[in-house]
Amino acid sequence: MGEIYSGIRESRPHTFNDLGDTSQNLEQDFNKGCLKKADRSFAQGLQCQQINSMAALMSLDDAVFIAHSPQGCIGCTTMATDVFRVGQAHRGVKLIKNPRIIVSNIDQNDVVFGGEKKLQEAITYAGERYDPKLIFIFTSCASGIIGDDVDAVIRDLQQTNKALLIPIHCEGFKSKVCASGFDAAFISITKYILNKEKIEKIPNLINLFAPTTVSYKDQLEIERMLATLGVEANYIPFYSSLEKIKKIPAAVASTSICKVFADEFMQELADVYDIPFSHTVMPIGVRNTDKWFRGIAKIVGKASEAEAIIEQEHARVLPEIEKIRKRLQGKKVFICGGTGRSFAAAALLEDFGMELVGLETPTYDVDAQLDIEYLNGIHKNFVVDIANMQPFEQINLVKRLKPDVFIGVPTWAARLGIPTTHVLDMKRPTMGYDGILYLGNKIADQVDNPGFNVKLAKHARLPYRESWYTENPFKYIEG
Amino acid sequence: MAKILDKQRYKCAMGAMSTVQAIERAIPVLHSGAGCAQKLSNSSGSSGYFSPNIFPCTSINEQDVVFGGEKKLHSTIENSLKVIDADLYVVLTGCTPEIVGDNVDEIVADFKDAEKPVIFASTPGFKGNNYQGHEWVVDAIVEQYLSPTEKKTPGLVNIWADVPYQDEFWLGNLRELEKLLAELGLIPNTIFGYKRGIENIKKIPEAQFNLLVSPWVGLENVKRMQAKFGTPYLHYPTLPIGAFETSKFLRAVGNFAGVDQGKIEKLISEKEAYYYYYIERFADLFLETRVMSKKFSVVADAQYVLGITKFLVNDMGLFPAKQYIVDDTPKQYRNDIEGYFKDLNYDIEAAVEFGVDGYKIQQEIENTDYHGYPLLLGGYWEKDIAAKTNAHFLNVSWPVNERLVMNSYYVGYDGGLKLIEDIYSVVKTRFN
Repeated sequence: MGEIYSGIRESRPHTFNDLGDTSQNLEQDFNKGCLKKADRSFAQGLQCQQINSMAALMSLDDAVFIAHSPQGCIGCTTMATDVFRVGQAHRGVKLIKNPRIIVSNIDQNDVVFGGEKKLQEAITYAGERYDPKLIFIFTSCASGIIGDDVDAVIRDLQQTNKALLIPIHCEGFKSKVCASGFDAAFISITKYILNKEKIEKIPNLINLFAPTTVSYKDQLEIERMLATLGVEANYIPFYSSLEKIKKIPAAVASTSICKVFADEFMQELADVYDIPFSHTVMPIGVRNTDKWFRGIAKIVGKASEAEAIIEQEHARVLPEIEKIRKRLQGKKVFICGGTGRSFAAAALLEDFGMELVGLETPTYDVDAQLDIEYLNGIHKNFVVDIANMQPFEQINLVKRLKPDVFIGVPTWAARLGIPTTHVLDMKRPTMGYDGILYLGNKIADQVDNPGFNVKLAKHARLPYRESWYTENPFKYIEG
Repeated sequence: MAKILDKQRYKCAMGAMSTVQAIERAIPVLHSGAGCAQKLSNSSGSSGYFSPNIFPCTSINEQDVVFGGEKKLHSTIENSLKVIDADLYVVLTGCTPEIVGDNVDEIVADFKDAEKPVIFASTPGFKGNNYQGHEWVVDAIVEQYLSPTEKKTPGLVNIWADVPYQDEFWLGNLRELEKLLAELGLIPNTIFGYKRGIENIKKIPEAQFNLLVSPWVGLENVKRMQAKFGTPYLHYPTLPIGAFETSKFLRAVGNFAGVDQGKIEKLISEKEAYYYYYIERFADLFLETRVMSKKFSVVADAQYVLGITKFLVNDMGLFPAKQYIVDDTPKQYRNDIEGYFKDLNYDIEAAVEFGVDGYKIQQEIENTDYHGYPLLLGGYWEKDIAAKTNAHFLNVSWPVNERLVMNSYYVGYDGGLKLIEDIYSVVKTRFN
């Protein structure tokens, strides 16, 4: 990272965003180096990297968040507010606060003459009003194109400002891979907070990185698992603080709950602070949880202890999983999700004896190839759509593949009468050994009573022309 | 133009994609950054048929910033027509193409002979908020889709009210306004929501008059329609909530439409009798509930601040503390709006402030003596300050979290009763 990595995931080798094929073909083509960069000549809205940068940080204590942008770029923050409040509620905070969010409100005048003055004002306001320890400044498409020198403004104001000012360069147009926004956040944490300063190591402390979409229940479960190894976790950055971030270099190892969260950052920590890390999978389902747990255990030198614990945990949960399996065996599944969750959900299917027929996920890269190799060993040939959302492709595929269950954003599959559920739950458990049971029962309950979706399908209208369903779903991917 | 926003109350002009979404079978085609649709979407329901994730989007990247995104826009419109089953395609622009100077007009003009109409509204976030964006979309429909007509339908009234989805009660409010007009014997015409849409849009130029129920949003639109179609308009600035204002509203509309006086008065007395049947039944509750506030503040867009202030003062006998209008009302309307707050019964006047700085507003509220528990009606952000000041709090304006609004409404006689229900459902949690 640092000098080499720009924070834009497209710049990493073998990364593809626009792709659709069977899983067998993809695996082979990737190995042969035959995959090509492509683009869609028709597409639907995506997520931008600024959303991810905000999501990564917006739960930090003692912070003010400034969007240096026109007024719409924080339209989504009521969602962040919800997660922020729930995070506090679950952690027992009595007087629950909203995140403090300010928009510099770039207007027509600023587009012509520059918006730096407004940014200065916003930073000054933030300091006066809230006296925070941290002020994060998120850049936007507009601030980037008009060429505001955000770094210079910050350098200037930092001299007189008590709070630490941290710019996050997350202009939406720079990357189609929204996970780039996570990297942008960590690049700035490295540069502005950690500063390559070495601090004393704390034995048994590991960094545990997790995006805001990981629930408190999941945090507890992961921390419980780590405690069985005698390891203490510094949970970053959800519901975290400046002090906890500063403690990052004191750790003896790092791991992440999400595959695309902090992976580049952990490499940086390894390079600068010699902190080894485990980068495996998202701990959802027995196979992934085992794999994730073994990964971190090995790094902290507790591989044999981990085996004993895994055996215990299996003895505890496998009989319960067997009961769920009876309800779900043989069901065909279509999965749509973010990079971490989609592959994790696919791995979960093995536990319940379900069959994968389709997988929609935003990015194909070296990591994805490992997952596809594993999945190809279990499931027959399934369809892979490399797409950030793109529900028009999804509905075309789902209509063809006729799954019994759909896992992911339920909107469209539900309108086809297919039982829907999710593995993305920022309020309830999904991870670790306990999470499997919660998730399995949730899926099985949904399959057992598809009533709502079936009735919805009778009345719902689908938004595409009839002709679209007979077309090649990947027709608009052109490369 | 607004200054720095702390606790934002609206979205940017391209948030008007919700206005398009509110028209059945109309779809926005976004020429914007990748994340804009997601940022501007909300959880207050889709059109059922279309939702923000469905909206075609050019998702402008770095290359487009350098070389322009016109080619991409062309292919996106062309393929939208092939893939999406809509009857009206409305191209909306975000910040990026407007800054780099894409010639969107020209691209959209390429589709003037397309099978379905394609129109365009310029809605970059730096140009305005979604209240204005809403007006620009309606303007685009009037200018680019409709033509003047000789045909006029007596009694046909186009009703315009506040902004769909920005106002969580938009659909219920519109339906209730329609009902009130129908009871006057008029033929209401609205373009938003279930079974209205394009057929009703086509009727717009035939109307006897336009009725605008909003302090300012839409005034530009009805003026434009007057110029283009010769349609006169009645501007009724106050959202009529409860008996007093609704009766006044019926008189104003009835008189403007030339409805027989006797008929208007008969309707009003029937409606008031009905309304006061409920009020009377629960009058003791209102009179005996000691924990109910005497003074209130509304922190909302102009329509709710005005509508609710009038209702609480004129119908419910409460006293106004300072009121806060947070929709960045354009300066030219502010004087008039301030005047409406001086026109309360018993010569009561309400102080009103236009501001977008939620921090300052909340500080003021904290330092105000409400003579007991404050009653705060506002955006979700006020939940914080309500907790701090022990206020009764009802979330009526954007952002609306922690409550679900499907088809309920605050307009009219029944709307007034509903607002009383909602307020007292909060107040009663204090057990007296």
